[in-house]
Amino acid sequence: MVAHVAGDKTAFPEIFERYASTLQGIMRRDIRKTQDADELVQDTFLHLHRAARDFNPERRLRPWLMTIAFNLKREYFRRKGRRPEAPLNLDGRNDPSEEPRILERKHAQRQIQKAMTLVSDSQREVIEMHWFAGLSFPEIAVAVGASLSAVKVRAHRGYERIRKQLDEE
Amino acid sequence: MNCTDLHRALADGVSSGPEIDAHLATCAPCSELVADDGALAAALRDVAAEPPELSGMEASVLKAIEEDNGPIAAFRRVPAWMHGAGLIALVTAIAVGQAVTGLRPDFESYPTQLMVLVLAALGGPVIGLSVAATRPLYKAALPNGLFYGMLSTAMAIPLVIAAMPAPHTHPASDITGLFLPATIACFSIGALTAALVLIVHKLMDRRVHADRNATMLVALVGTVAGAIALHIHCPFTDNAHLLLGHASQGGVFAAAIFALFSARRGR
Repeated sequence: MVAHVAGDKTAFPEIFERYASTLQGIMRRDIRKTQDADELVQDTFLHLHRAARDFNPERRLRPWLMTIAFNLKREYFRRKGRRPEAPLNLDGRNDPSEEPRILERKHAQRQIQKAMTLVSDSQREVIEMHWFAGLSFPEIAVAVGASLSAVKVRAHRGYERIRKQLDEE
Repeated sequence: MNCTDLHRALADGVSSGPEIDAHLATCAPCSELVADDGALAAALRDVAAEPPELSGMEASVLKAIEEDNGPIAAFRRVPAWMHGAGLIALVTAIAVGQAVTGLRPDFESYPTQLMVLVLAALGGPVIGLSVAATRPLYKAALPNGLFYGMLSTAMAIPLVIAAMPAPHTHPASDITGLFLPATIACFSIGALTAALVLIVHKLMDRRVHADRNATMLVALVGTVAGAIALHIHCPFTDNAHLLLGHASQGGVFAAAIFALFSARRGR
């Protein structure tokens, strides 16, 4: 980031390479329109570029960037008046040529993604930040403006809800 | 051992041991994860590991950054605190400008303490709203309760001031025969002030898409700024005039912005 602010043109492509796939995963898991999801990824990087001078080089970039991403995602749902959506490819159809082990894993993934849309926004956000954005619970507490214990309670309740949903299925 | 260490251990197929047991004894979320032999953790890991489809995205992202130049783009890249300070400075300039160019004719007989109190009561929300409205996206979002509390307070304070009894009688404060034109004029001044603040914010806003909540907060900065300017300029003390001409813009703008964003949903 420091290099990017200083005008090093190779710095931002490096940042993109490091974080783009994580950001895309975060957006595409909840947003059915892939065009909207990818636009949000682009918006996140553009916002990062505009906010570059605010970045404290003594801190980690990942929590900073992921907070921007999750805030933009929240604003997207507010703008569209929607809630997070399970991706359309969760319709249970399988490619019969795939191995049973892979099919089983894909089935488990579909169930998890569907269950994630049923937990509360605050619980889902904590789980996504922890598992998909790679943030520790203390970092998540800063990102969402809650105490560490509140964040852990949200994660616990979210896991319980997901497990209950999986058991029901 | 912390939660991340436990996740790594689970990924390596290890779900018990003295360190793990000690961590699980104090961490409810991780205890939930290791139930069912870590099946939930394994499933979450699988979802996280899905491969990306990034073809073409790098080029479009770098192009957007390359094209983000010019004076307005440079304005957006100043440190975040300058955005809030900029709004506060704008409101201050509006107030000072009004005082210099159009002070109310009854100013000399208006109680000084009351004037200071009113300006302070209006100035406080301006500072709070400016800071909240320009809160950068790399910080935790404002809790909903705080957002609605600030919105309500910023709309209520001008209404309370407008409902206060007249502090004095002065020939210039008599609105007889002038109610309608004066109220329309004052409402328009307040609305124009709010529009100016919204335009300046739009120029500074780093977002690609406007956010409803941030826009409402900025609109309230503008309407309170309008109330300040009008209180410095307008001599009429009639409560109905003050309520409709000076204090109603907050509610009108908040409702209009809410309606505008609701109408744009789904597009």
